[in-house]
Amino acid sequence: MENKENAISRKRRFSLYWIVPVIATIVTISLIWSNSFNKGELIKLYTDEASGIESGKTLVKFRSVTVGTVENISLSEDFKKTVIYARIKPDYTELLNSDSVFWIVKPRINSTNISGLDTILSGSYITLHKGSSEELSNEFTCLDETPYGFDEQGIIIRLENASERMINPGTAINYDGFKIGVIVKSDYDMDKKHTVYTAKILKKFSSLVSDQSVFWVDSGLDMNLGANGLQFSVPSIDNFISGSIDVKQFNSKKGNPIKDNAEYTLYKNLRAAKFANLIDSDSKYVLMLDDSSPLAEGSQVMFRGVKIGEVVKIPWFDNKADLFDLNNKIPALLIMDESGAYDRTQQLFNSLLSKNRLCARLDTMSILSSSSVVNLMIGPKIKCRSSIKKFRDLRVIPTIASTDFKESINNFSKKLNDVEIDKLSANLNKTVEDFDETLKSVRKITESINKNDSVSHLTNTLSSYDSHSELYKSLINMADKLNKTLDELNPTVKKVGQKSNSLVFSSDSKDIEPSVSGK
Amino acid sequence: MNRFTACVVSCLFLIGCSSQEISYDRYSLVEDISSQSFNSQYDIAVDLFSTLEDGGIVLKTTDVTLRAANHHRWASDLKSQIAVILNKHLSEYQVRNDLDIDISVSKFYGSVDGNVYIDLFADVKLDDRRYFQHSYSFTSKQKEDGYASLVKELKRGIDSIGNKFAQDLSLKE
Repeated sequence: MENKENAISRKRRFSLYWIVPVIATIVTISLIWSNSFNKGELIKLYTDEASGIESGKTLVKFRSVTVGTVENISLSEDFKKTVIYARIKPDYTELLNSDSVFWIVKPRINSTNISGLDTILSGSYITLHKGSSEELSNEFTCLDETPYGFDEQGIIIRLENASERMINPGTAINYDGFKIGVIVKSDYDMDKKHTVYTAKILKKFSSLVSDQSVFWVDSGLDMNLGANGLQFSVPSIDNFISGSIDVKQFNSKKGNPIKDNAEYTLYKNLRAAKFANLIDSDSKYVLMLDDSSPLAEGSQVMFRGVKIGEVVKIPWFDNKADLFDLNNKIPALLIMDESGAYDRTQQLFNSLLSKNRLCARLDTMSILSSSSVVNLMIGPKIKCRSSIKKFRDLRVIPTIASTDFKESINNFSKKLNDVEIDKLSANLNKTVEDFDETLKSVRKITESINKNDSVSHLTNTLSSYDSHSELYKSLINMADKLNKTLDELNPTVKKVGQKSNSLVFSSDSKDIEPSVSGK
Repeated sequence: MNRFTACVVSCLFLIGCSSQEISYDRYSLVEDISSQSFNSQYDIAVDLFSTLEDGGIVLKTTDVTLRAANHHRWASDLKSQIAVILNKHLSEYQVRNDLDIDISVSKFYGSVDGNVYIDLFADVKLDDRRYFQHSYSFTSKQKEDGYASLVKELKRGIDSIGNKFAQDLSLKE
């Protein structure tokens, strides 16, 4: 009975020997769980080339935090792409929005940018930009280069390159020197045979750009040779090194807001862009010249000393072959600046042209520069005509004779050449010699005068006649006495003058006395 | 007879040369003026009407006639006396001394009925530019008969004008 009870109690007691296996089982199950059932999301990244990517080593990072690892690399089924299999940690699967962008970060050095140098030691890695879509995905395109402009909202436009210069993605688009957009990517249009750029204008600056805006390549260097001399400036070192694109509207038309996928032309420089923007403007005039050499595109048009426009095209023939017809004058297209206060330009100039009171004169800008400016002249004495009133439907401003500075200098030089320097020099020498002789004679006379003390005698003589001398004082005294004597003799002289015998037979009468009392 | 004739003729000569009135008195306008005023610090040029330059005191006998007295004469040149009087008044008012003063005197006489007339015109220039112009006149009646009273009144008149002139110039500055 006692043994049976002991056996039953032995059966009921839990043995401590089972703890270790249970714990081991739990650990094993958790390890199996984490390694097999909760490894995270396996994603596929399709790329052109997986250089620098290694299985098991290359990391996937987001904001410099490792969020996954590349597990495998293989080729796609059609062998046109490489497929990178990356395991994203379970905590970060929310980064896998369908519009998330992946790209490979590796060392890059080019003319405009140096980046990814930290990967030289650590090795390339894959990074991503989290999208905003609610849908998740596990297949993505992995870009080989850093994408631009994806991090801010903006409007995508296309720029068709009309310049010879190559623009790199990442190049800034500036408005008055301030970055408002970026070139996202470049491509070559085989049909149109030129480069096409995709650009993003940031949404908050989109109101600065309209369908009337023009884009041009800015070299980053401003150089101007004018009347004040050579002016040279580099507004931005970044732009100077890497170049930039500028955008602006020069005409006064009301533009429509910029739209997605709108197409613009990218002009090679500011002048070309301005010309394209202003070509439809109403403030256009033409000069007809015999010779275009003083003028060039960009020559200023001045009015009362203020720049109001410029020459945008010279020669401006409809048909370039017209240049070789010697009967044709050379047309130069002027466009007036429509910004600021020059809206009334057209009204004023048309009115003056009708009265033949508006004339253009080409004046040399400076002695350094061979180019000229167009000076528009008006005034009551200004009158000029042109045999050609209109050219290509634009009014022609007549020209008048210019004050060519260089020609004046040439004329002066010729006159100077004509002067017989030898004769002049000989005459001058003779004059100097004669003058020298005269000076010698004067010196001799002066010495002889000094020897005879003539000057001192003369001084003494003159001093005896000045107002402080005794002679002068005695002369004055004598004159005073004489005056007094004459005054005293005055009545006698009057008497004798009236009656000659009055000295002998005195008929002197008493003076009349003034009387108050009437006596 | 010859002696008698000679005697008669001599008597006639003596009658002819009988004593006449001779006066050595001379009249002065500047007796009470200190000698300092004689040292003029002002450039004053006085111009007199020609009759006044005779040297005798002038009386207006009718409306159109003037007579300079033979026996009642000025002690010194009337121009200089007037200049001294004006100089005194200008000094008293401390008028600036860089002026050119031209005084033209057209009247400076009395009349037989005891009236006294003074009339002058002052033309003052500074750096050859007109600075001040004014006419001054004085009319009065002498207190007593005789030339002494006339002279006293003339003196009073020229003093009054001098004072007014100096005052006007001092206010002009």
